[in-house]
Amino acid sequence: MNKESYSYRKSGDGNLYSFVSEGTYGNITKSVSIVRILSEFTNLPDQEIYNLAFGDFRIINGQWMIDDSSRSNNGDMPKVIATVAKIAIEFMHENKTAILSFSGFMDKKSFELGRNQRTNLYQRAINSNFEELCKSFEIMGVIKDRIEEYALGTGYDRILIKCKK
Amino acid sequence: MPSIKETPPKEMKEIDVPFSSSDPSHLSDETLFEIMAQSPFFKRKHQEAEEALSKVDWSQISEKS
Repeated sequence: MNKESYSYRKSGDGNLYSFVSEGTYGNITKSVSIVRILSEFTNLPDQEIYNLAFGDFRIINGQWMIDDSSRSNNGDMPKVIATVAKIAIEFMHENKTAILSFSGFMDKKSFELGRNQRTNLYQRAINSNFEELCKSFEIMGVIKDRIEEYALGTGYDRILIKCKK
Repeated sequence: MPSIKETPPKEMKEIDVPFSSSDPSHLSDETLFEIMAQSPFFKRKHQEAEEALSKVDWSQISEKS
């Protein structure tokens, strides 16, 4: 994915990332957290599964908080998504046997439409780079708690990616 | 007597990077990542993911590996 993206800061353990979205409403700091899911939740003791979560870094009631409850509409969503994708790809290259799981946040609009709009965004990014991504990654979708091979045009609840052997 | 022409003192140029109340660019990496690591938001998101992933049928993955 050679789309324009932001440079990012990365924590020493490689699980936390931060970058600044520069758009219509100024600078908004975005943060990404990748955490290992304990095998007791997946019953796959030999398989490392990580979850990626993403949110805005802001001050709420005088305290630094991270949330994704509002749409920042900063006019740079493709660049933001490309940056998150770049982080995910870097993480996957550093953790070649891991599965990375991610899904969007069901905001008010998502509930109204009955579809996760943020997962839609991620899927659009996958769809527009599908051939290239498939060269290096196995992409799967979770729908109604079942895993299937990712198919263009299908809306998923959650996406799973894994480096190809 | 020649007057010493006083030149006005150079204006102090402060490097004042304006940041909004929600701009953490002045935070060190250590502080920034500490806040992120302690974030209840991320804890909640990962917990939700654990709950969602615990319901997933992983047989397809275990068969492959």
